Amino acid sequence: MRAPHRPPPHRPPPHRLLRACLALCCALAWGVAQADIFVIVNNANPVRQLSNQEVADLYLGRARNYPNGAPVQILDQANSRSEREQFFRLLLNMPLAQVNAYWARLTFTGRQSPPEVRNDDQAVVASVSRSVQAIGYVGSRPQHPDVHVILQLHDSP
Amino acid sequence: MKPAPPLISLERKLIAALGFAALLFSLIAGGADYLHTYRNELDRSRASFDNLAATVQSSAAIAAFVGNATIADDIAEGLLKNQEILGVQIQGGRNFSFRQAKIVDTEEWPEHATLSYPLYSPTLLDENIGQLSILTDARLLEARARAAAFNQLLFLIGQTLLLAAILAFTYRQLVGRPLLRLTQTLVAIEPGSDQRIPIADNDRDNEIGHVASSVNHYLEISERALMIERELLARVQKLESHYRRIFESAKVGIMVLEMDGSLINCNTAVSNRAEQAGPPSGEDSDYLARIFKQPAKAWTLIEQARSSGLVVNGDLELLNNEGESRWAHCLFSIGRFPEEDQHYIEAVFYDVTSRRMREEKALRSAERDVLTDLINRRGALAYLEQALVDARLEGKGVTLFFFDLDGFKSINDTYGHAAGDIVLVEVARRLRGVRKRSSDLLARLGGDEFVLAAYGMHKTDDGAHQLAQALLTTMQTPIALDQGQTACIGVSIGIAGYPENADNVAALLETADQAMYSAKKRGKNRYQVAASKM
Repeated sequence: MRAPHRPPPHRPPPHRLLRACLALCCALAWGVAQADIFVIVNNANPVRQLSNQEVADLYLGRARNYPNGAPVQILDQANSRSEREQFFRLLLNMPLAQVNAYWARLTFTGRQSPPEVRNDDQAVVASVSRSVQAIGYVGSRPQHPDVHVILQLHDSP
Repeated sequence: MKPAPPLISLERKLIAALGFAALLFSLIAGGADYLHTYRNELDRSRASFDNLAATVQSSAAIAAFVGNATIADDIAEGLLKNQEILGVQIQGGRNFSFRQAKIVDTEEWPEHATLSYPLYSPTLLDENIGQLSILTDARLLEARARAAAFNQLLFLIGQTLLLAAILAFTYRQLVGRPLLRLTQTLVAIEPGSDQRIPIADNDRDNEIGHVASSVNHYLEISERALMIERELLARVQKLESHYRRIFESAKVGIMVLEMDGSLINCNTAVSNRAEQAGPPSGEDSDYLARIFKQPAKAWTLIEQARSSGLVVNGDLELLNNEGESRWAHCLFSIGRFPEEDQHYIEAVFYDVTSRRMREEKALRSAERDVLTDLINRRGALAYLEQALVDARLEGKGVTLFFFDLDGFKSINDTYGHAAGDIVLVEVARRLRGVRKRSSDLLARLGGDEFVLAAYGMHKTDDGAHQLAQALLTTMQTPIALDQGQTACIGVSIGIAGYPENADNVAALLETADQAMYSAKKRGKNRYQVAASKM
């Protein structure tokens, strides 16, 4: 039997600056640990919405086109990026090692090309903003006028 | 020794039984083993396909998931390198189907040769996204399983046969040969001989050795028993030949006859005598006619013996073609063969001619007493003369009983001479009844004086006293006279013996007479034995 939850007793902070610093650190930590992933396409792309499954099929090489039949240019992020780890965890609940092994097999045996790699969110946004076929993902809601979000992967607490 | 029956060796039976058991075992166990191995082999190949499938399953799942024919092809190439795999098929969602085969591919793979494994999504492990199918070379697998099972069967049969052969060989070495040797030796051994069964050292403590040693023990016992029996037989034969010699060489004639008079057996004394009668006439089976001058008299005695069941005796004249007539004293009795329930005649006789001569001489030389028909004084003297001569020659004794009636004179005086004669005749009759033997003399010397001479008897013999007592007793009974009168008489007896009292007749008579007188003086009706001369 679990004890009923009670909020901790309020204690006044000893110092105002210290309290502000603490709040910032907490926010930073929250931002790093709990970040949604945004799947984006070019504004000129007619696709307005994609399901989890449809995005997963694209990123696992199962689908080579958009559901409407239009050709697709899939953009991935570098393996070292936390956004990549976050993306596959939220989308497929797959660890990166497994994703890499899967793609290695598809690449070497299946002679299938893996998605193109961009170094960071900015490069992804830049590529998507220039290509109508491109699809990518980023760690924060993009502010660029030529791209829009078609799927937001929520990081559940 | 009885011939041994043909030997049917146990060894051959054992080998037959072993062979049969091996065959039966091979059939049953071999059959079961064959089936078991066959199924095992098929299961084993099935398991190896499962392993192969498991190895390629994740790659196949990706191929099915993505619909990548290249990966599927790669998997199929790998799998088809196995000789037992004829075809590979990978099916996935979105109408993906890949199929590759070594053979001319038909539409439907036969179900019994096809192995199917489900494929799961690489992302969601419990989502079935397709199927991997392997077409196996069923004929090859079955042929392999059959070959393996057949090899196993051959191995089993070989093993069984080898075991049976080893068993048979071991039996032959350990049991068969020693037993056969024992049997052959035993058959060849003569019971009662000193032959024994040799026992090999390594058989000494086993069954063969024990049987052999106990057989040896019995051989020893039987040899000893036969030896004892042989000794006994020899002793019996010796004894029998002794008796036979006595029987054969006896002067006494002994013969056994059938009831019709034909001869069963006789000794030489009889057969020599019978030969005098000349060769047997053939028709006449009466053997008595060849021995006796008057066989009818012999038959009369035999009839008496038969009816009384006792031994009957009498004097019979023997058949004698030359010289003087010869007499035999004969004893006849009837015997019975118990096993045949048949009677036979036993006859024993011995020559009594000399005694008979004496009697005849007495009869010839002396007339009988007219009144009593006893021998008179003259005859008695002649008999006694001859008897003493014979007794001297034969070394025998003669006992003379001289007796005189007591009270005879008064009977004569009271009832007259006629009554006296009746008494004398009755006394003579009674004396004949007491007289035991034909060789004895019974005579009336005159008046009321009688004499009884027992030849071959000594006065000291028990028989002499018994005879005297019998004489006293027989005279006790009153004698019936005419007209219902009775006369009581007694007797006084004097006893004298040759050679104890005298060596001639006159002295013997004198001594007996004196003894009689002394008995009378002592009170009559008693006997007195004369004291022996010193």
